[in-house]
Amino acid sequence: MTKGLLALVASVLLAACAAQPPARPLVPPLRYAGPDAHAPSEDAPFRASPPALADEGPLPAATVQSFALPGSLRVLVVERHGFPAVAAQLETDIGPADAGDVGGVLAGMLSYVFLRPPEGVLMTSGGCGAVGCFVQSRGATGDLDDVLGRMADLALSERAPAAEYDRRLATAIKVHETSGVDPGRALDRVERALLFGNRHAYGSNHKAVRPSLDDLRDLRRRAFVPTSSVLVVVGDVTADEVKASAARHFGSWTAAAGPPAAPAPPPDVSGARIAAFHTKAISQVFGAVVARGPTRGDPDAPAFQLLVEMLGGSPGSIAFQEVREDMEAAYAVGSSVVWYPTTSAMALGGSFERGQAIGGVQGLLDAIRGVRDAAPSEDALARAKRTAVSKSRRAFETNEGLAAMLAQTVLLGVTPEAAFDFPRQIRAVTSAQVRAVAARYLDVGQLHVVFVGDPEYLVTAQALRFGAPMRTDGFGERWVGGT
Amino acid sequence: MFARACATIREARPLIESVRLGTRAHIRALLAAGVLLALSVCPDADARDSPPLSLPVEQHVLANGLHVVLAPDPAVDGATVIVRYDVGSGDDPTGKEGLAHLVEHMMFDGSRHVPHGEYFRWIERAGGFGVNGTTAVDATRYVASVPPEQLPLVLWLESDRMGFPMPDEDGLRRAKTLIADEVRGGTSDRTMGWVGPVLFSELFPSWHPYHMDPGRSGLDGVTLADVRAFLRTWYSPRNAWLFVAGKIDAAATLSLAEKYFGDLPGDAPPVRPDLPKTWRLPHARVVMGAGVTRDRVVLGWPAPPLGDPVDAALDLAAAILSDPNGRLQKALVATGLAVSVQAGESSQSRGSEFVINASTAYGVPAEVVEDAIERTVDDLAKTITPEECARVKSEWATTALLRLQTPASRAFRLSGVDAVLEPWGLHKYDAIGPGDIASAVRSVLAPSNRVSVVVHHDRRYPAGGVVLSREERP
Repeated sequence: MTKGLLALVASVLLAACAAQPPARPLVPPLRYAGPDAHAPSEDAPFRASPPALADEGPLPAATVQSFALPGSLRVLVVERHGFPAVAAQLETDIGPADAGDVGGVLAGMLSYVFLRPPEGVLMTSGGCGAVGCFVQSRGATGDLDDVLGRMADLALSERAPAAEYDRRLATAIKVHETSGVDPGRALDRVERALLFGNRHAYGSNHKAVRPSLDDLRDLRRRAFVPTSSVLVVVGDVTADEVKASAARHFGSWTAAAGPPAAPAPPPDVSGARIAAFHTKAISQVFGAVVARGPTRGDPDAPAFQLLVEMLGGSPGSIAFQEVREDMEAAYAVGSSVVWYPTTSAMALGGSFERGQAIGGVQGLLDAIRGVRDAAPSEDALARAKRTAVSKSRRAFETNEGLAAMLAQTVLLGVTPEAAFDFPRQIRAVTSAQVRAVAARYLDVGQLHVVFVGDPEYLVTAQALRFGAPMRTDGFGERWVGGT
Repeated sequence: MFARACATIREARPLIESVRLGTRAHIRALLAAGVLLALSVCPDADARDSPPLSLPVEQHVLANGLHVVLAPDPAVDGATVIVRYDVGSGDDPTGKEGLAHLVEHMMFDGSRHVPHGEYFRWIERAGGFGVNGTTAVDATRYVASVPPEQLPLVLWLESDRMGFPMPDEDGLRRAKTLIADEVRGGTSDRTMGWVGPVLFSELFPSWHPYHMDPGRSGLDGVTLADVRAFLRTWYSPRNAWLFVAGKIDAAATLSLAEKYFGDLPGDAPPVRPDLPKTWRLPHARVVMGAGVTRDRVVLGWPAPPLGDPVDAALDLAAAILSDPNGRLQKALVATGLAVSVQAGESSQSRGSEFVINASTAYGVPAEVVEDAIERTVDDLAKTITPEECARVKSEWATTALLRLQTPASRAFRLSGVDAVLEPWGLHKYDAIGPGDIASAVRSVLAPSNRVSVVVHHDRRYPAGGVVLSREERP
C-alpha cells in the first residue's frame, strides 16, 4: 500500500516535471577539455604541401548540327545521349523592333502577358529583356514533341482565356509603376541608364508606359519573326527527330514582317558619371563601378572577360580580397559582364556597410587602377583563367544550360562554334593583353559609379572625384521631385 | 507525359524499410557494409530505345567513422566534393547563438598546412568554382567543384581543415565582422530574413533547438575557446560525411579518401537529447512595422519532421498551393489582393515548418489577405483532385530527374539529410495520394496551429522591422 502510494506520488511528480518545459534549448554541451581538434599524433609526409596540380583536361566539345525550316527559322541540334533528357530554347532578337524610347519595358510587359504558360503547362517558361525574348522547355527522353509543342503554343499563339490577358496586362502595368521603389531593380536600372542613356533600348527605363493589349500584340507580331529567331535543341535526341518535330510545330511559322534592321550601337553618353538612388528601404548601401566593354565577337572579348573575372569574379579575386577581406567593407563583392549585340557592360560592386560605402567603392576603383597600371602576376592570371574556363564549362553541364548559351550566343552575332571556342581563347590570353584591355575599356574617364542607399551615408561621395552624384528615381531617370 | 520519366531503384528498398522501422543504427550498419545502390531511369515503351541511365552510389565508412559516399559517372564533366558535418545552428549553445555559422566562416581562414588566404587561391589554381560553406539548422556543408583530375587537392584541403583547424583571435574578429555584414546585407534587407526569427520564435518553444530569439545574437560573447570546443565536440570524422560525385573512379577516390582522412582520429559526437514530439502553440499574431516597400503577411505552422509521411504530403500541398497558376495565385494575385505569394514546407530533422508568405497589394488590409489564405488552405483540404495530385507528382519526378544532370546537383542531393531515405529522391512521393494531402492539411495547417506575422510598411521604422504588438488568440 505504502509502496503503491509512493509510486503514485513519484509518477505524479515525474509527470509534473515532464510537463514543465525546459527554459533553454535542448542541445548537448560543448567539450572544453581534451586534445585540440582531431589531428593525428604525427603528420604524414603528404600533409606538408598540397598535391601537385594535374595538367588541365580537355575542354568539352560537341557537334552542332544546323538546318532551316521553310519559314527560315534556324534550328541547331546538339545530340547528347548520356542523360535521358532533352531541352530546347527559342531565342528571338527583338531589340531592333523594340528600339523606341520605352526600351525593354514593353518587352518585359509582353513577356508577362504573353509568355507565361497557361495553367497545367509545366516545365515551360519565357521572358524578355532589352535585347531578346526566349521561350524554353525541357523534359525527359521521349518528350521532344511535347517540349517543342509547348514552346510553339506559348511563342506563337494565345491559349489562355481572353480575360486572362487583360488581367495580366493590368498587373504588369501596376507592377512596373510600383517597381521604382525596389532597391535591387533600381541599381540595375541606374547602371544601364548611366551607361547607355535613357533614349536607347539598352538603357531606357521609362516609368510611364501603359500599353494596350493591341500595342503588345503589334510588338509581338513585328518582333517574333523566324528570320530573327533561332531554335536550339540539346539532349537525348537525334537531328532527324528534331527535324520532324520542329517542322510539325514551327514549320508553318512565317514572317509577318521582314527581319528588323540591325540595332544601332548605343551613342556616347555625356554628362553625369556618378548617380545615386536614395532609399532607406535597405540597411546597407549598394555601390558599383560600371563601364562599357567590347562586343562578344570582338577580339578583345576573351581578355575582357578574364579581366572582369580577375577583378571580382571569385573569392581569390583582387577586389574580393582587398575590399572584403582586407577592408572588411562588404560581405558581398562581385563582378559581371552582360553582353549586348553591339556592346557589353561590366559591373564591379558590392553591398557595403553604410559607413564604408564610399571607401569600399574607392577600393573597387583602386583595384581597377591596379590592373591598369601593372600587368597581373602570372599566378593571378593563371587562377583567373582556370576559374573563368571552369565557369564557362558549367554552361555545358546541363542540356538547358547549353541550349540557352548557344541561343544567346547566336543572338549576339557569334557562331555556335565560337561559343565552344571561347574557353580556349580565354586560356590563350596573356597578362599584357589583360593590361591593354584594362587601359582600353577601364580608363578612369570611362568609368561610372552608382549608389543605391541612404543619402546620409553618401554625403562624401565627391571624394571619389566623379563629381556630385546625379540623383535619380528608381527608373534611372534624373530626379525632378522635391527633396 | 511526365510519367515517362519512370525510374526504379534497385537495392534501395531495404534502406527505406529500415528507416520506416526507425532503426538508424541498422542503416549505419548497412552503410558500413558498403551497400551499392543503383538507379535505372527507363524511357517508356513508345519512346526511342535508349539504354537505361545508371547512377550508381557507393557508400563506405572508414575506420574512424567518416562516411564516404561516391557517385561516379564517366559521362559528366567535372567533380564536386561536399563535406558535411552533422551539426548546425540548432546546436548553438544558449548565449552563443551563431557559433555554428561563425565556425563555418573560420574554416576558410586556413589550417595547419594551408596559410591564411591560400584555401581559395589553391582551389582557383585548380580551376575550382562554386566554393561555399552553408550552415543549416542540422548540418554544415563545405562544397567545391573542380575538374576531376584535381580531386586530390580538394581532398587534401578538406582533410587539413578537418584534422588541423587553426582558429585564431584575428580570424575570430574578422569572422564576427563579416557575419554582421552578411546578416545585415543578406538578412536585414530581405523581409524574410528578419521576419523568420520572429516566426520561428513563435513556432518553436524556448526549449526547442530551432527556437530563435529575434534580435539576439550571441556572437559578441563567443571566445576562441568556444570555437575550439565546438570543433572538438562536433568536427570529428565520426560526425562527418564526404560526398564526391562526377567523373571519378570510385576505387581510386576511396583510396584518396583513405589516404587523406583515414589517419584523423574520430571521436564520437555527443548524443542529442530526445525532444517532445508535439507542443502547444500560443496561436500568436505578431504585428511589425518596417521601412520596406510593401506590407507582408507571413503565416506559419509547425509540421512533423523529415521522414514523416505527413511532412512529404505537405511538400505536395505546398507545390499545389504555390503553382504559378495555382490556387494561391488565383485567390490572391488574380484578385488583386497581393502582388506575390509563395508556399513552402521546410523539412528538417527535428521539426519542419510550413510557411505561406504574401506581399500585399497597396491598400489591401492584411486581415483580408490572411482570410483569403485561410480560405484557400481550407479549400485545398476539401477539394483537392486526383489530377492536381498527379500533376505535381509528375512535375516533381521530372524536375528531380533533370536536377541530376550535374555533379554538383548530385552531390547536393546526396548530402541532403533525407538522402538516407532514398539516394536520388525520385520516389519520394510515390505512395502519397490526394487523401493523404487533404489529411495532412487538415491536421497540420489548422487555424489553431497557426502563427501570423503581419508587416506594415512604414518609413518611420527601420528596414529591419520592429515588433509593434503581439497577441494570443483563443
